[in-house]
Amino acid sequence: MNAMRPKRKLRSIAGKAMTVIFLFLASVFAVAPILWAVLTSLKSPKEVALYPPTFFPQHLTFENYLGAVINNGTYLHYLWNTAVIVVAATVLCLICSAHAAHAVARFRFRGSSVLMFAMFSTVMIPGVAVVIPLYLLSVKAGIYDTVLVLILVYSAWLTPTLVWLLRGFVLVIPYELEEAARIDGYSRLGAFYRVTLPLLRPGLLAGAVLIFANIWNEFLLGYSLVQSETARVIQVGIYANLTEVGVQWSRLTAAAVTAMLPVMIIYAFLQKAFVQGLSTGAVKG
Amino acid sequence: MTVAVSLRHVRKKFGTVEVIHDVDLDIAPGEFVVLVGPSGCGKSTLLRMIAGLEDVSVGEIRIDGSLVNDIDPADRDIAMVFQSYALYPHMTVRENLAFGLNARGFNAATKTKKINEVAAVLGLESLLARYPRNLSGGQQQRVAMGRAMVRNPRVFLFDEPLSNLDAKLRAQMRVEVKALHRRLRTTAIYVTHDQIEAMTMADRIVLMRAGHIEQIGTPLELYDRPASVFVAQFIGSPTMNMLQGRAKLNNAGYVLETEDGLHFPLRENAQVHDGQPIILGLRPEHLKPSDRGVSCIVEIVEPLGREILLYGRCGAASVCVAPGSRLAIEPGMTIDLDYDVANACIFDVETERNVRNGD
Amino acid sequence: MAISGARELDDLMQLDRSRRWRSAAFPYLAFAPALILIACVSFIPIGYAIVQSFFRSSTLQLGRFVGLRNYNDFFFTGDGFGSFENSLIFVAGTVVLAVPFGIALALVLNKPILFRGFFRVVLILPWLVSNLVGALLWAWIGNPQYGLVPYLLGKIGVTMPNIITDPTAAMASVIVASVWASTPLVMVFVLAALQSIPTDLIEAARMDGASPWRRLWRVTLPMIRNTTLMALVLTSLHAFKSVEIILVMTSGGPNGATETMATKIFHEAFTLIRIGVGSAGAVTIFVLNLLFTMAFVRVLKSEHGA
Repeated sequence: MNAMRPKRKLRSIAGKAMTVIFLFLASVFAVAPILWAVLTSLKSPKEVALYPPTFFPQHLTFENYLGAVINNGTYLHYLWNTAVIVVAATVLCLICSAHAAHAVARFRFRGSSVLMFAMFSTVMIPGVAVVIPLYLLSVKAGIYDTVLVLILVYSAWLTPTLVWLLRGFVLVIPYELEEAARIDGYSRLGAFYRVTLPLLRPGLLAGAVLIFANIWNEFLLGYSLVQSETARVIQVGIYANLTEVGVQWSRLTAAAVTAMLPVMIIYAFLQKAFVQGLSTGAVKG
Repeated sequence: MTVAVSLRHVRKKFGTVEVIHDVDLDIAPGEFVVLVGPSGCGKSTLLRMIAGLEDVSVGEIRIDGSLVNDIDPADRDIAMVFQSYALYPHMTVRENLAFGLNARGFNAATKTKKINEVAAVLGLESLLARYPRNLSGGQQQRVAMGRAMVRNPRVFLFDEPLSNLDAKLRAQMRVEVKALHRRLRTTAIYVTHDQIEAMTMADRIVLMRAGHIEQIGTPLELYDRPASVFVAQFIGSPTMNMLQGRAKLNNAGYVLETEDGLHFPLRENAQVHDGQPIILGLRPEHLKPSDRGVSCIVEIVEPLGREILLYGRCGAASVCVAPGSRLAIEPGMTIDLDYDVANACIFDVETERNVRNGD
Repeated sequence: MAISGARELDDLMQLDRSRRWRSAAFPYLAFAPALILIACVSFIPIGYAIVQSFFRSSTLQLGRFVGLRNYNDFFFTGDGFGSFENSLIFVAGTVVLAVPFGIALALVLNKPILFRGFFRVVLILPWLVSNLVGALLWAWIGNPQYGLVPYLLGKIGVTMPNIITDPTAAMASVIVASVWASTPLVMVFVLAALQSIPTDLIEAARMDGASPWRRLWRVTLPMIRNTTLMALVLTSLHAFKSVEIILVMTSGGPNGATETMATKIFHEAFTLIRIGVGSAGAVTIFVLNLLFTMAFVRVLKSEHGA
């Protein structure tokens, strides 16, 4: 006979309390900078400059948002640029990755592992290093300082990750479905478009979230490959604001908070698909 | 009689939905009890409550007399074999078997001895170094049982362990599990939806339906004296023939009169009254082709090898007859069916219960 | 998983020669768009960068061939080796903190607790914020003059070390920002893996008498091993390449205390205009990451081959 341990209920109460405390502290850590940014963006510049700093705004004001965002044509232009780039890159990247992932998952063709490895190795080099060669290449191709160069580069950078994610996804879809389509008379490609691709939807959505977050938040390349304001992206815009005007935290945080919103909204909408996409593609693949 | 496991007024609610209604059950030490019933009847839930994996909403569960409602599964000294075997994929067979022992702090020598004993009994000696993914279904099943056995628990719990095996293997494993139980004499509670497993393995059967216990008894008790229509039709294959009609008193005694006027004799002391709507239950093997009796047109003859099965009609009612041997009967023939009235079950139509039990 | 099934179906359908050739070419064709894109945008520039590392390059031209001199310059002048050390410290610090933290959060969020959905959203916020903005905010919060954290700590009587002038504090501050940004992704990965563990395995462990601690170590964690390793590798790769956080917060200072190889590359290329030297550093990181990843793949395969 063995001694009975203390009853379940007592153990779980202590455990639950510690869990809640842990989560609370972690959440504070996670949200603190963002919360602080939001609060600051709602204070007047004078109040921001106060030291000791105030916590909640004494006078709630939207002047920062008006000044930095809503009435600021340049900022809105940056948002537009980034949005265009994101959409175009998402389409391009998903097209390339979906086909490649399907090829890799279904067929064992010669050189597939070499190709995959080569593809993934592009993820291992710091962006900094490729900046100069990319600059030279883009100048030669005549696309330097345009939106197009960013579209191409981001697509290429994110394709390896997407291929890896979608490959896992394709593996979970039974091959018999495609075989049935081919027996029904469709070509390989036809079977892919009609059968596999629709089933790939959660993976594609998850991939879209990844792409969106990565491009929207990217700074280095946007800074290096685009100089003029015409094609500038949002993060570079925030950075430029920083250095040009000196640090005006109230307006800076307003700009930054506005920049955060699209990603958060997209994530909020696609959260389920994202998590599902990640578990199927990343875990089982 | 000492009781190994007892359930008193046990109810289970999921949210506002009650799925187990007031269950009382006593299981004797060393008994092999089978919880059987259709999907959703609550048998697995009941088993999991005994295991401690589900909370008890109302009522008491006792093991060896001690209340275990709030005791963690790990401390109840019971072992469970899962339908999916639930073997740890990253451990070898030996490590799987040792896992439960490790948690209890036996020394190395004792552990090895116990593992080797169990492996010998189940025929696993050559598999000890393999990983679960390299084992066949039957082998994985045995490892799952070994994992339960090695801890020498007070009660074995089985949750449909043979469901994932093919028919032939299942038949083989049924025999092995029963032989094992005879050898170990540990109290066992076994859940299945397969009435054959229930009939062949149980000391007693607990037949459940929609959260209630429909009947408890030995296999033959449920077979010969089913308490209700449900029990009669669940146990036994092919299913018991059910003939509907009314009880009618004539000079020979009571008979069942069907809608189209056929008469089926009832036993002498049948507890029915004239005009009562009843169902007459006759097992296929109790209907015998004879030279006098109820007329039946044969529609289908199924040759099973050692015998044939006949499907036909007595008037409007479909019947199945199992004569027990190979007779020269062809589809389209008309035969007369006779039966021993003592073998027939009579059910009241409204309550669906066996009239012998009194309603 | 029917990888060779494609060939069998071809045989079955008895395709003629030309169709069979087209069939065989299909995977290559499908792979082509991705390959062309990556070749132009990544392979060529990377190749060029590798070549550049052996030349005395300026922005526009290759210049003189100088062999390994750039590598020498990178590591053995201007505290190059220090940058290597700092890279290791930064990466190790990030990984050692972010990965266990992320795993712990995932374990907690896998259980049915109150407000779980709320916490899941809140805890992923750092990933949704760009590195640049995150770094700016952390720089500001920790700023000794007007930052919130030093102020609050001062109120309870603790003087926080100056993250601008104190080398250790500076490194600590960038690691904090890096952990802040990296943890959510680890958490999401591990959470996805945890949710794929069959429940009856855990129940079986409970029945076997294992305490919660034992269940965690012997059953849960081993089952998410592969995903954990993947999260670990991705986090390290990312930390190795990271420049925004450090550049924005400390710019490599004070006195190179937080200058990692990645930021050094940036400075060599953009400030000192010693492109070749920068490329040399980059190629080194590239090789290190390659070796690291290959070792990881080896470890992954070894488990499965058992």
